[in-house]
Amino acid sequence: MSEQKAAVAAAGPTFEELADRAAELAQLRASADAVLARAWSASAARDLLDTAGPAYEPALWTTVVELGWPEVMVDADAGGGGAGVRELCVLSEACGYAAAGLPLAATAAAMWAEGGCADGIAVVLPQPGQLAAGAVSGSWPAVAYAQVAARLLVLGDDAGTPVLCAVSASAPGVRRTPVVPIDHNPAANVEFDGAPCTLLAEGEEAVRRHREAVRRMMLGEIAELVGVAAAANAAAVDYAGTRVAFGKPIGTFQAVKHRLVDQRADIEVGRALVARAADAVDRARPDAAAIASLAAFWALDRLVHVPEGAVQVFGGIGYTWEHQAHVHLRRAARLAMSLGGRAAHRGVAAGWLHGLLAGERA
Amino acid sequence: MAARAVDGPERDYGVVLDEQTRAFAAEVRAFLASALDADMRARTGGEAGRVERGREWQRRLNAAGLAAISWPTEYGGRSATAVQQLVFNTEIAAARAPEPVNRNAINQLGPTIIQWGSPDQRERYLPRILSGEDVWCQGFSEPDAGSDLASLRTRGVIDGDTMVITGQKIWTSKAQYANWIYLLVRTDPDAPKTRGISYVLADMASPGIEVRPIRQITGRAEFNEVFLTDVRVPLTQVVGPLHGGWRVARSTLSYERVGQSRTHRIERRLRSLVSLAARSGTPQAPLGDAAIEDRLVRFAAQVEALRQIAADATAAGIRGVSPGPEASIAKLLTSEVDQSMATFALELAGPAGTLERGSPGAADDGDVALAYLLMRAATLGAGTSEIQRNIIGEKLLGLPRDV
Repeated sequence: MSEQKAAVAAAGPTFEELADRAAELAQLRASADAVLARAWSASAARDLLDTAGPAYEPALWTTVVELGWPEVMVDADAGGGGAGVRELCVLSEACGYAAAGLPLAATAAAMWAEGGCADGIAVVLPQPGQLAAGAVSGSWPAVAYAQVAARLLVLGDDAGTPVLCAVSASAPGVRRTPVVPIDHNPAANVEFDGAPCTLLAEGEEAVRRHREAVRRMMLGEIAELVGVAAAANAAAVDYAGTRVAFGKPIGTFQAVKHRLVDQRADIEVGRALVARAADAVDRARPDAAAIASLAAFWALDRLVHVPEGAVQVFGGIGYTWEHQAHVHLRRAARLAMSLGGRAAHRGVAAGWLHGLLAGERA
Repeated sequence: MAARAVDGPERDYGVVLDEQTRAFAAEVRAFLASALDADMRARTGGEAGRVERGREWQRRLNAAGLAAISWPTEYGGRSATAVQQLVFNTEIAAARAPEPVNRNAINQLGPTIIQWGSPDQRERYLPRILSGEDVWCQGFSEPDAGSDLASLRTRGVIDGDTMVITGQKIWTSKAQYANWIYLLVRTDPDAPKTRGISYVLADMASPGIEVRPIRQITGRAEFNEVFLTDVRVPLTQVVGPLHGGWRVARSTLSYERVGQSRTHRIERRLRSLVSLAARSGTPQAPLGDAAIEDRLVRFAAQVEALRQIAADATAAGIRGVSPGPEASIAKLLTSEVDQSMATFALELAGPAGTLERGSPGAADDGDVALAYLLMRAATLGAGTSEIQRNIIGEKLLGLPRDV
């Protein structure tokens, strides 16, 4: 982005631009929903839980790769989608809603950090490793989709100089031990023991790019969680309209109705926070980290509980293996726990709140 | 803060303004800088003092051509765009200007008369709403018709070219100061609930109207009961079709401003909450312990989300798209967050928060205690939170009706 363009973007859009953009994003969402509805369903996701291996459908990943979704944030000059994290969040939410368990946010964030399009799944490791003589070491427990990843991005410290580099999953010194997370994604414990790596950035730029990539991945995952919660809520609403008890559909009872309304409100707040944080990141606003942390806090505080409430509305049937309710429950739990802890996000947000006050006094 | 709002650098509206809107913003700031003087900022005189300031503020706004910017130019407004309205509301809220005495009449009654009124009614009432020469109150709710407004029972019997009205209205604000009232009355008792209602304008000086103040839990009396006994009103004061007042009332209610002003209010309340927390903070924990931070951050998440939803709704509005489902949810959330923050402020302030205005040591000169009491109404007025949840559940989620 040119300096002038960046300055205009940081100043913010006009209302007309906001309106046009809302229409564009709605269209993107509609087309994503249409693709996923043809290719996938919650019952397909539920059936994957019956297989011996992980709950992952390579053909579905191929479908979204062919549409260019993982490259969405790569510059158009480099052959990517030239879009921002806001677009990634729209696509991720659609995946969440369709129960499509895919490493979209991680791969898109990695490609953004790599600055170009590359084949295969990539993940960004949030915690740093150690670097010595161009080789990286460290261990990372339960990394989502690591079993099927082609590249792993890691921030290392090379004798005081931060380095962002990519490690090929097939390189010597890379060990991946499969684990079974609650959503059955193809996760693995990852260990590097002097694994060779490709340099992406050094110094401050390495730190910045890693931090920004992790933030993009996190927002994509929160957006996915919004979609998961919306799918769980929608399924529970449908059920409450048809399931009869005491001679009436259970959705007529206010205890059930109001629970579903409150869940919907939690979802709308989550979606608005994701949009606000994504815009702040795309415009490099100084409050981007704080708004992203508010979104993460909300995900942990409320969104993760939406599928729990949906199971409650389904009652006994929701507790069975055959039913789809636990697909959303499992996905939400895994996504929420990958965001970093409540205390960390609360700390970032509280620091920002306190800063606003200081700014007002100044 | 108020001084900065007027003189400071251009405000961040979250959007870029075009030339014309920037000029309008400058006009509004210049008006506020000169008109919002010490008299208008005073807080003395209780309710009567507020109403008197509201009258004067209404006059000043009108003299500057800013009394009803959203009205069409031909009726004394500015035909303001959605963005201009956002700018206006933002500046007014930031400057903490008093409430003009006819705010509800300007937001709700005026647009209703413009849409449904006769040319004669428009000519007669609209200029006097703007100037504040007439002060209006609303007579919709009744003791047995609150959430279920259409079950209202005040009767209007047609007698030649007049209507004779008998009944009781409640929760009427400013009735003791108003000289006009807009009423909903049942004129056809045999028709189905919503079909036999008329929308009528009545002079408060008419024989048979009696106003009795209701003292609220705050100790103030901002609402009234209005008793109507054989009040005679000419049929020329019916707005819209006779017996067809429900549709007219629905447009009045739809003009009830949902978004901006209340978003500013919760932003302001969040800031004062953070400021309260900071008073008991330490260098290590500037806003207090984790339990306090947890509450503050949850409020901040809700407030930021509501700001986003309001901005999205404004953007949708300028494209003529009606606000999405978020808007009805935003109304519910705004009320509840506002109330919860006022409740938490009491806890943060501790015993000092329980002291009322005038008591030495009262937190924020008694505002914490007052807001705690006042905010009980947030989840009651304009449809209780329970009714809002039923409406959202049935209209938005499509759940079956329970009554």
